[in-house]
Amino acid sequence: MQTPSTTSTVAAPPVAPDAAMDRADDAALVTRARSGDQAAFGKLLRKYERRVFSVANGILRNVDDARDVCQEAFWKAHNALASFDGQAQFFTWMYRITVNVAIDHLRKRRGERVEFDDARANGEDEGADPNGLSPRRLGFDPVRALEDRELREQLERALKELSPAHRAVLVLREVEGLAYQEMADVVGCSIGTIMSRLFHARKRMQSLLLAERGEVPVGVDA
Amino acid sequence: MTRTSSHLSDDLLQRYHDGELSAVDRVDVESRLDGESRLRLEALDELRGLLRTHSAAECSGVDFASIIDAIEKSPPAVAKAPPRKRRGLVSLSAFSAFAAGAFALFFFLRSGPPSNEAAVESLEVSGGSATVLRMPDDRNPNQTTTIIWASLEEEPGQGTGGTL
Amino acid sequence: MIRTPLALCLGALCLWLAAPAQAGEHLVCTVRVIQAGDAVTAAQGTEPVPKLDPRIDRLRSFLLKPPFTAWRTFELLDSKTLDVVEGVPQSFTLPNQKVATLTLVQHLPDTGGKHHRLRMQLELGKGTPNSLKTVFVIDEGGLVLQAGQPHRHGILVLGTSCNDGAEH
Repeated sequence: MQTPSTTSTVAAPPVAPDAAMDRADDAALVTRARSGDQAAFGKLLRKYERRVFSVANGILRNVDDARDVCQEAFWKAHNALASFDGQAQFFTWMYRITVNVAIDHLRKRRGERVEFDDARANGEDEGADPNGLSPRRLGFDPVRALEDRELREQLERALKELSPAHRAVLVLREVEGLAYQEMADVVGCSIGTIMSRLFHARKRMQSLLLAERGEVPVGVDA
Repeated sequence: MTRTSSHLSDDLLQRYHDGELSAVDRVDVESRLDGESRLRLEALDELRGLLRTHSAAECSGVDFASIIDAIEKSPPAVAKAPPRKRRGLVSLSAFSAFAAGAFALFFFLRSGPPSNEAAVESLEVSGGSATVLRMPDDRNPNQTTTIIWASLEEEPGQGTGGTL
Repeated sequence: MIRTPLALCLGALCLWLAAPAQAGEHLVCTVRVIQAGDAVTAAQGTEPVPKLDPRIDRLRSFLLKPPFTAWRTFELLDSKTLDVVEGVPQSFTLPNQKVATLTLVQHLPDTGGKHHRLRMQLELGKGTPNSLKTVFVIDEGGLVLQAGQPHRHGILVLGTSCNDGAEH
């Protein structure tokens, strides 16, 4: 493992690019779509199709299933648009539909237990390190990691070890950059629950990746 | 969720990392960052980078053009009251599914199931739009069932034409 | 010698059971006209069990998949059985008053596969400003779905399957 840099690379808080403009644009498109302008709704779907797929695939870890879920989510959004009150942002509403369809998909198609009870979901940490977030890095440049097949496979295996609930919060926060409140709206739980899930998901991922890299999880050798 | 080995809790570090602290709290955290806290933040940062890169690679090439086209051409949805639950349908459906399954099995054993995958050679539409969708075929795992989706306007309109 | 005719009969029966439907100039096509309605509007929670007309339960596996999962009721409005002769169009009127026309364009020669192939033409609203004309090739006995025509706050789904008489 590479020695972590001692210079600070502390993550800056996420800043939504042109968020206000983006929201106004979405709101206008939603208004048009609700009045029957199907092209406006199509524009919204095209804008978010990749992000919706990212959320679905992040939970399901199966590209084909994610495609099915996205199609279903798009149709459900289309049919539910008249009941969309506009209180939430369009993309959080769309994510909410996608997460629900993905969970239903897991329940129906695979018979997989979708555990969203945190006492149980967090129980997957049993046997892992008893401490908190890891101070160890894997030492990979994220950009170069794109070409690192072995790392991608390790990452995939680790993600599949997580519960769907943990995968959901990871993709919503780390990939999509949603705020805690937005995540709580999407998943339908409290901010406290989101923070707890996020903490356990991150800790679990770090432990799994360190184990994949042959490193002893933090806390064990401390 | 707290960490006792450092004077900055995991909870605080996580919220700092996620940009969920107020400006005052951020300054406070930054003034208290020690070496290990920085390492933990860097590890979180690395995880985020890895997940974003991984997701970006998986999402490249995602295209739902055909389904979005079909949605655009479909009639706007009308809000409806939630449906009432119906009992008895489940058992009837289960029986029907069993009967249908037995029927399908008979023909499968006889000659194997015919494919539902149509090769659409031409698709011409006026006064609407059409596209070809494919859904997985449970009977033929490597094949699909073809849906020719056409949203023809109910009232006579200007023909748009088009050929696949 | 009773055994010989019996053996021949058994042999013929085995061949009938083993062989795919034979090609011919004359086909029987079944077109099921289904109304998909009660569009899903609830964005939350597990969806209730869709209501499927028992007469089309054999289509359950198709109608419970996207894109049809956006509707919760599926009712068989009509079922047409058409005697289709190569090159001769067969027409009937759909519940939305559009005329559907099905034509067997060509019965394709056996290429060694399990099933014969059919080149079919489907026309909807022929001669009207809003029309569809499509030509497709599918296995004899295979099912092709046409959907999307608006009707009664939902859509129409046409399920078409053709064979030499024994419906698949």
